[in-house]
Amino acid sequence: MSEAISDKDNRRPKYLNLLQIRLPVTGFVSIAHRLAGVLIFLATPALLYILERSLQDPAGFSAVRSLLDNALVRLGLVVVLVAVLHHLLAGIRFLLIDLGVGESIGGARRGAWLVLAGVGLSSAAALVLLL
Amino acid sequence: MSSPLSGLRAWIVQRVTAVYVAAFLVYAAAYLMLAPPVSFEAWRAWVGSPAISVASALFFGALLLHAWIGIRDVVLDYVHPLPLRFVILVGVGLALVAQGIWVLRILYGAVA
Repeated sequence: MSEAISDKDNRRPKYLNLLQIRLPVTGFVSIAHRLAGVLIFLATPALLYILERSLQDPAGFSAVRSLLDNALVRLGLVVVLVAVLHHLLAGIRFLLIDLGVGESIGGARRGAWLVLAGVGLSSAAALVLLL
Repeated sequence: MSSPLSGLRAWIVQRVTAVYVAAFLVYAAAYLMLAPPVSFEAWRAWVGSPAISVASALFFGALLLHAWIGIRDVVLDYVHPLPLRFVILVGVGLALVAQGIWVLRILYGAVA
């Protein structure tokens, strides 16, 4: 078997260097869906704390209000929001693929670009509304 | 070996919870954007209303289940040393159960 591998095969570049791999758009949407999910998981305790404080008493409610006025907190929330939007739209794409919609190579690529466009547009809309 | 949340069952649970979490999130976000709570009383009354408190409890239950399956998949894919994998999964599981209890406390506080 090993003799069958020609010199030409051996010279094939193996781009295991992650910085050299050019991920197809479908791969990017997929790995970003995972990253966004992990990020949301890590952010959940902070969001639960904000929810708890806002429901405790009027003082807590206004404390959350002023907390949300903080630029750094807003920046963090925007990052989480973009992650949620990507996870949501890419997740809907995966569900559609399960149903057989956008399963072909072309359809999967179009769907992936559609997800990225949707994330960009909805993130921009959210930024305008929030900032 | 068949655990209650692996293989096909985990695959199905992941999708059912995804649909519920997405639907609740879109509904809640749309409602809060169209009619933002003006005061503490209004906010607490909305969260504590029978429909929203029950739907929220279901939402967080579905979210934590979804998080368990998703994080477990990621850990199984990228963390190979068994002891490390075990420690991380136990930590994630405990964190999710703790957050579930925490959510029930928060929602119970809004209803009571």
